[in-house]
Amino acid sequence: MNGTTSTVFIVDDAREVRTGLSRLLAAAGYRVRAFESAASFLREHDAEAPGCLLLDVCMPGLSGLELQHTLVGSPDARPIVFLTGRGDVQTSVHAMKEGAVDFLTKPVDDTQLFAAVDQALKRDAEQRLERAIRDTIQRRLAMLTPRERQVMAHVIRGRLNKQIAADLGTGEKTVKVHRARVMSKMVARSVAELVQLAARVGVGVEPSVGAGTAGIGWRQP
Amino acid sequence: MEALVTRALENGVALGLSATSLALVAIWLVERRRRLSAENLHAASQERLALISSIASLGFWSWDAATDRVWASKHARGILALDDETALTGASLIAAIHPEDRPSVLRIINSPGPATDTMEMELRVVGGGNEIRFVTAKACAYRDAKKVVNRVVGYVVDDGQRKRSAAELLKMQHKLKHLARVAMLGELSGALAHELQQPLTAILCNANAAQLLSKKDKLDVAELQDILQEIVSDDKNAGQIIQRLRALLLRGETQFQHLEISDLLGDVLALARGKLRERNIQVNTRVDRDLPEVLGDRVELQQVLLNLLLNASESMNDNPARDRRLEVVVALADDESRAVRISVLDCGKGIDADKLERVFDPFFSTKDGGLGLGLAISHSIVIAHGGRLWATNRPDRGAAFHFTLPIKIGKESHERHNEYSVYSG
Repeated sequence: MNGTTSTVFIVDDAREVRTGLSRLLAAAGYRVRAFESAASFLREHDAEAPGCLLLDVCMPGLSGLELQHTLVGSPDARPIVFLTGRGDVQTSVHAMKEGAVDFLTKPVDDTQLFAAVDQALKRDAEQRLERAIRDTIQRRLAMLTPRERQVMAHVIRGRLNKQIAADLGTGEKTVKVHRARVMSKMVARSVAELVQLAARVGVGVEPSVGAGTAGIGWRQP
Repeated sequence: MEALVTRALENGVALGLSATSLALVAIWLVERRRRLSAENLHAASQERLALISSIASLGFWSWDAATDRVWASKHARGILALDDETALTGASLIAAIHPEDRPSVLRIINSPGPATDTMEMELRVVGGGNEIRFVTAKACAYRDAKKVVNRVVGYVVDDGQRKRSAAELLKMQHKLKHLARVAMLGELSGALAHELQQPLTAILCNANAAQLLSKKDKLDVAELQDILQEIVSDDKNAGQIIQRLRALLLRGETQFQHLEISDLLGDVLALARGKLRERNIQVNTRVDRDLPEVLGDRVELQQVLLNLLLNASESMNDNPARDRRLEVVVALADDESRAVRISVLDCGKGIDADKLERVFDPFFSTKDGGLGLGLAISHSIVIAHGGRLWATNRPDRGAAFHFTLPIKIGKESHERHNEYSVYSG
């Protein structure tokens, strides 16, 4: 059972299946929304609302697999549990490779269904948390001035204020002030924490090529 | 015999009989011999006639206009179911003919013609116990100076054997149609199984939901009732799928009945729904309102429609998934034929112009693994329904298959389709 406000988004073109799944999941305490086609889901669903997709593979118009393909990598992506009329290995492998949580065959066993949905909702919650953290870090990063960014790049490489000052052609005191601002804006209590935050959003250190400043860079996620 | 006469003459001479009496005896003897041989000949020819007529199942008869007397050989009486005792007249001959075939016979007899006039026709005669027999009748009519028929001589042949083979053929065709149907449903089976899984899934979900709800402290009776209602209707839907399938799988007799084309189309689309969905085909139907009923065999016409739908959907295999539109149009035929026309339009590759006619030939197939019987069988079914099936290419792209079915016009059209009609095409 699911205590959060997560929603199971059902997409199935067969009315009776939509109704049946909705009733079952609702009876088990899930919040449910059902759509009759991939297109209506894309049009109407709230991407912000946490939850997972319970998706029929074979549908007229945009099929379940096509919808998955459309969503993968987009901000609207959410974990998908597939439902299919036939246990087609090739299709299921394809769906799983694209990141599906599970691939269930109709008529579906309720225990299996709940387990898959729970797993999908858990994954959604994790992904949302991860996204929220990354968003926060990005917001903090966005507050840095260009100079502070430069300083931070050096700091996360473990360079000392003196070295940074030399590299940037500025005074050690100025670097110290910049570093303090970076730590404060990024809400990092130690260099180690700052490195972790940076790593989380893909701002990191390239492997050293040698001495000097080479290999320090920003990678935007 | 000659030796006998010669000897008698020799003996006569020896006995000293007069030449005159000898001559008389000789004449008597010769005359007797002639008579005997003629009688023999007549008997022999009678025998031969009887033999031929029984081997060839021929029955000879003649009718004399002046006396209205009919003579009929034993075999003819057998074929025409005429009693020996009957004082046979022209009327009794006509009475032997099946009522529906009488008008055409009378028309031929009464129409003006040359002095001697032979005719041949196939007819049905009503035998003992109202059994219907097929016969071929050949007759020669002799007319007098005023061109009025005064004598008709002819024979009848019992076509029973031939018609029995025709009936056999009909049975074979029936089997073939059934086989084609089974093959087509085989093609659909995967999609149909999928189709059955929908109501089964729904039933299981609803039942599981009811189990969960029944464990709760507060019973939501309204919800439980809804669930049970849903289970009942889903189960009925599953039953209907099986019913439709069964109807097509069974090998029943051809049965003509009044049919609504829209019903027929609905059933076929329901059967093909899974397959069409699987192939991403969007179906658009345009059925004119208030169309008259047609007369036909439900199963066979479903077979034709299903065949055309599946062909059309397959023709679009190479189209992108969002460009597979199939259209079914049902309307009154725009010509004067008093028929309903059903058209199945696709937007596939179309048909090469030189193949438009040949697609209905048996074993002509453009599909991989296609037997090439589907369209040939559909064609023969439509023809047997008094309709027409043809193919055209659409002006922009894709092919169109059209067939017509005559609108039922009272009793007459029904009888045209009775069991005697033999397939063509």
